[in-house]
Amino acid sequence: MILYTYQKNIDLQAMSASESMKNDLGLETLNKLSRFVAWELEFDGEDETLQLKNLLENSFFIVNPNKELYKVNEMPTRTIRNGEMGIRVKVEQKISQQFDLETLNKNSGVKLKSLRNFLIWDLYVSYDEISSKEDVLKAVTRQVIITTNSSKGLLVNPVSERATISLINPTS
Amino acid sequence: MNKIKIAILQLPGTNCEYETKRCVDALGMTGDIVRWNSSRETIESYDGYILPGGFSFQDRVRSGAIAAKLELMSILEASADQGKPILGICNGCQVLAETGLVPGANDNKIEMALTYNNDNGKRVGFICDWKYVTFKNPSASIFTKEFKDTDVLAIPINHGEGCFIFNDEYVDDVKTLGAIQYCTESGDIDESYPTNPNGSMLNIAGVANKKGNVFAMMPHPERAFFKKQFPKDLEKTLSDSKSELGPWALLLKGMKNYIESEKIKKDVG
Repeated sequence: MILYTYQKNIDLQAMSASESMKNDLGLETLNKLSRFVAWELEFDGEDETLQLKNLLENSFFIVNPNKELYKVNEMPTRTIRNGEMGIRVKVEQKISQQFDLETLNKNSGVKLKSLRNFLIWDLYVSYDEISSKEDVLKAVTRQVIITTNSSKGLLVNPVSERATISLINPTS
Repeated sequence: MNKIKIAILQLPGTNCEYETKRCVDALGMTGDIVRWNSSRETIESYDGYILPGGFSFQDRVRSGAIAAKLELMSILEASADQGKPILGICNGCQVLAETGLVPGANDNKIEMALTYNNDNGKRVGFICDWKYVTFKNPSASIFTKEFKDTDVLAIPINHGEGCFIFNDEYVDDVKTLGAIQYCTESGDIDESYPTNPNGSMLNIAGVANKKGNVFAMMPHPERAFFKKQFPKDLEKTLSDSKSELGPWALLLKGMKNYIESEKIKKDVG
C-alpha cells in the first residue's frame, strides 16, 4: 500500500520552492505547487489496514497527526483549471534507503516487511495551447525541475536523486 | 597595504557567522557579517567570502538548494572566476555544491551532491562529533596549501546531510583536487563507518574546485580554530607552541596569504 502524507496547513517547503521558481528561476506561469511524501509499505500477515492503524498510532515516524494528513492508495489531487496543465515529479534517492524496521515493528506491534519513501511535487502551470503539452513539460523540466546549475532547476539534484516526470491526467 | 576584508555571508537561517568572524579577525583580517540581500556593489567590495554553517532557508527542498538560486550566487560565481577565494562551511558547503561552484567542472554544472548521512544505505541520522581528517593534494587549493599531506587533525562535524556523492564520470577528476578526507587517528583512509561518518565517496570531508580558490567542507574549522575549543582528550593532538591558535587557523592563513600575494601582484602590475 502507499500512504500519501501532506501538511494540514501551509507547506513551507512548497512555498519556498514556489517563490524561488517564480522569482529566481523565472517560471511566471506557475499557479500552484503541492508537495507530498509518499510511503510504500508492505506488511507480513493479514489485515494490513489494522497494522497500518497500529503503526501510525504508535509511531510518529511516518505521519505526525498534529501537522500532517494522509490518504491511503489515493493521491490527493487538485482540479486542473481551464488554461492550465499539471506536471507530477516523483523524486527518489539514488542511494537505496534502509529504515530501522525492527524498532518500528517492536514499538508498534506490527510486522512491517518493507518500507520506502519518495517525494512527489505537483506543479500547475498556465497553458495557452499554442505549444504542445509535451513541449511545455520539457521546458518546465529544464527551467525548474532538474538542477543543472545555479540558474536552472531546483526540485531534483540529478547527482543524488532520480526523477520520474509526467503530465497529470485532468480526470485523475 | 589595506587590511584584508572578508565577507561572512549571512543567509536566512545561518547560525555560525559570529564565531567565523572571530576567526577571521584573529588573523588580522576584517570580517564583516554581510546579509545575503546586500547590494552587488557592497558584496563585490570584499577580498574574499565565507559561507558559514547553519540551516539556510530551513533546508527546504534540499540543504542549500534555495540559497543556490539567489542573486548572491551569481556574484560569487563571478568573484570565483576573478580568482577571489570562497570558503563554504557545512551549510555553506551544501550551498556551494548546489551552485556547482565546487568542483566547478564544465562551467559550474552540478557534478556533486550532499545527501543524508548513511552507512551503506542505512540512515545514521544527524551526527555531532569530533572526527579525524587528513589532506589530499594540499598544494592544489589555497585553503589547504599550509597543511601537509601527512597531517592528521581532529575537527568537529555537525550535520545530517554530509555524504558527498559525485557523478561517476567525475570521480577520477575529484582525486586530483585539493581535498580533506575522513581517516583514523593514525591517518588511514578507512571507508567504513564510523571513520567515514556519513558514507561519503572517497571519504571526502571537503573538496576544492579545479582552480583551487573555492573550498567546500562539511566539518567546522571555526570550532577548532583556537586551542581552547579542543576537548581534553584531543589536546594531545595540539602543538606545544604558546599560540592560542589551533591547527585549523592554517586554513584561513592560506586564504590570507593568497589574498596578500594577489594584492602585491596587482600593486606591482
